[in-house]
Amino acid sequence: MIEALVSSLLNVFTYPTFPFLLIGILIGFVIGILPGIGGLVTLALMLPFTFDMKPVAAFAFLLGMLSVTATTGDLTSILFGIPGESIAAATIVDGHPMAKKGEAGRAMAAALMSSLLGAIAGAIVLAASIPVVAPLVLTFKSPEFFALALVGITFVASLSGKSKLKGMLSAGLGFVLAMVGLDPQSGMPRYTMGIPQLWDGVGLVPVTVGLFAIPEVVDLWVKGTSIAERGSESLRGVWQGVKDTFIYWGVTLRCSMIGTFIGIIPGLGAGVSQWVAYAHAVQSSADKSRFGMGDVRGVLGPGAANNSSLGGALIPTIAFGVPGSPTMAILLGAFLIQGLVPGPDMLTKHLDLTFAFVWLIVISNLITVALCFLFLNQLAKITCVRGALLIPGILLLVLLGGYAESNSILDMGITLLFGFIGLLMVYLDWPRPPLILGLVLGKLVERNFFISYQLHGSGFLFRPMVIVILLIGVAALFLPVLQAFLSKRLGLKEEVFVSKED
Amino acid sequence: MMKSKPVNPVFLSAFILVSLLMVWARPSVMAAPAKQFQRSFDEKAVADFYRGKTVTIVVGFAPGGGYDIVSRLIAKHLGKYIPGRPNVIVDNRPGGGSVVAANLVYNVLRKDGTFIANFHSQMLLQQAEGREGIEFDGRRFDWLGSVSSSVGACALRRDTGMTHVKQMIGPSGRVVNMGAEAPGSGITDTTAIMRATLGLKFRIIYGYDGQRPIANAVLNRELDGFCTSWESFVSTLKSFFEPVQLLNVVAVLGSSVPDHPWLKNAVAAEAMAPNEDARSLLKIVNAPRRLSYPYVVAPEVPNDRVASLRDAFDKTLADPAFSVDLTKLGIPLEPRTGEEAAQIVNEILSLKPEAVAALKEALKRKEGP
Repeated sequence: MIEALVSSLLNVFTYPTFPFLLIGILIGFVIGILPGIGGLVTLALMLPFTFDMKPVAAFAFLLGMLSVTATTGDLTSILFGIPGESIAAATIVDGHPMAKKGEAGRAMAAALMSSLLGAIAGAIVLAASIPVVAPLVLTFKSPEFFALALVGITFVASLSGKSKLKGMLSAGLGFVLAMVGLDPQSGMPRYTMGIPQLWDGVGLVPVTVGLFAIPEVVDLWVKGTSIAERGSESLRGVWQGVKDTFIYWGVTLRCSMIGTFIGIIPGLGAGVSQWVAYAHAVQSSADKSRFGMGDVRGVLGPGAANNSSLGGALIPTIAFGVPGSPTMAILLGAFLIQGLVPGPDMLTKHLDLTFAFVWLIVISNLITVALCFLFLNQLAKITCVRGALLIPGILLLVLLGGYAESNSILDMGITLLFGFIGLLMVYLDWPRPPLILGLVLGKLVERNFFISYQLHGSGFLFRPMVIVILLIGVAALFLPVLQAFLSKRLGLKEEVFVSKED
Repeated sequence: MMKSKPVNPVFLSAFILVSLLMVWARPSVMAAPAKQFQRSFDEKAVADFYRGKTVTIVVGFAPGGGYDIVSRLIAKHLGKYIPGRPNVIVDNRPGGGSVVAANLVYNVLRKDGTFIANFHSQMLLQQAEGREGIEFDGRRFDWLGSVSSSVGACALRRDTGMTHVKQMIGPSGRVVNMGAEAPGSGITDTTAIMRATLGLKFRIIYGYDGQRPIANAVLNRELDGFCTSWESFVSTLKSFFEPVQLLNVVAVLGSSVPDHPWLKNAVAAEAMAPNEDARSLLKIVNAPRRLSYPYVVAPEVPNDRVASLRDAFDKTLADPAFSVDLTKLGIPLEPRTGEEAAQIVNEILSLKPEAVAALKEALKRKEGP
């Protein structure tokens, strides 16, 4: 085992594996920064190039790209308030306000370090858990997925800021949006207005990009200043961001584990884990008042989770050929092309390749973070450029991002529509993250509910794992109330119940 | 004042008659030259047209899926066989199960031979059933051909003890939970038609989001089995058979069982069908799979260019380099020419109304056996 670990590490630095890794990193760097054009599509486009490559080189090329998109996606989210990747949307909530306060360097450094630590945590779990993960993955069936998705809704409260009611209504709107498309049970079109492009539902990328990016663009235009309202901090801010990762090590570590765990469960992925991690960062803090206005923990949590999800999602993919996420479904194509069969062979005959995946994730993140730190100060200075100069480019990227998911003009229209909706929500002080969460989770809730009901009738709610998950959700929902109650009754400080680093 | 010359009534009648005939016959007149499957073409004229141009394969699915990868392989080789050696690229236009791509090429994009559609042939069955959203006529497309051919197959987990379809038929037959998507998908239709024609006690669990989630659910024992294409079992779902065989394939949709070690206990559904009507239904539901990865151009494309594209398509599929790449994907190369494809399409879309009614009845959403 140790031999395989060492030999696979050395293999990563051989020719042509290492050059392909660097090319993959470069592609991932650019793709992550460009909003809308995601790692998923890029992975698919890179796949045919791997036909003539050897396995380690092929996966170095693909994983090199995939490993860094979430990292660099966070940078766009922080600098411009536009999600560079749909899995980096949660970073906007606190990352962009930090940039507006002139703390872009600190936010980016925190995102980079937490991404690196998250990726390493995910890779370690990948290396350690493949032999033992089978019972865990196979335990989760449709009733458990339903319960998990439902529990995800309880986190809406944490994403809602001051008004829980507005948050629930926003999530409800997301749920309604999730119903657009073909009914999964009957195949009948719902709310598609006779447009076949809507049969597959409203695209997550155009909604996310429109909802978050366009209000920021309008805000920048109206203000007439640069993104950073008070000027940008010096290099000290960057080092503060690095230190924050270790000061709030609990949040970073726990959110890495959240991302890894959610990545392991097939059907979920970084799109969900980023929000769950953000919600956990909020809920576990004594002082929640700064969240949504530039709290660095709101950057650390999603940053760690969206990178650790990759390692988690690789686990069922390698162990059983069960993709842990849509991206992994495409990566399975790479397995096919290379003549590899996921399963026991990956732990015996191809153990060195499996360990190579671990090293590829770690090394590509190390290289990316090092590169980003070289340019971080320069990147932070973008926030000092006059908004009028940035807006045309940002708007172009926003519209391209909306278009790129399905090469559809309709999606550009959806981007603009949700840009308008996002503006209204900001004006009326309605939180936007719950809408995204509702859109993502709504489909999962509906599908898994009806499948569970067909299989088990209403008895599916009484399965042991379902009860455990629902109880966790209830506990998470009422924990803040319980904390407040106990602190009043027993005269205890609220900090007793939350992480010491606060 | 001069009197105007009266119109010859015979001439007028003939003119009106011919005009009426032309209007009535217009679709078939317009379509007839394309459907004659002209194979010869003026190479110089075609080369002059395609030189310096880009031919776009409009794929009805997102990047990364089987259709996308096969189209990219075709794009890699096709250009060198088209006179004028145009650049060939892929443009993904997912939506509506690939109906968006088909509608686009049929109605919107330039009909000069620079746009080729690649969509799921299941859309043809949906056209036969009169499903909304289908804005093309499969018979009017000019078919270049298809890459592969497959047959539907149903498999169950080995630990259910189900090794033969007879265990699921009749009063003592056992009810098994079979995974499916929404009605209209190949997986769902195959499961439904097997149940309807052979009397198998399939309890169809609708609503899964694709083949992979269904396969996961079988792996974790939520479901007992599922039906999909035989080609999927030997490629993307190979891990269910090697190194340890987790599934038993109990039936295939065709008239005979392919020779394969995993099909030892499988029966041919058409051979087991109780009557000719049932056999016809099975044939129709499987027909789209005989056209896996089809490629078409719009009906109005000039015949010369259609002929040259057909010729280039045939040569691409015969190219050893293409074949090697396709084998890596585990997709069997069983090409059909444009003529063969059009014949299969005609079978699907020429159903009599009572056959369509029987088909809809067999495929409609019904959970229990």
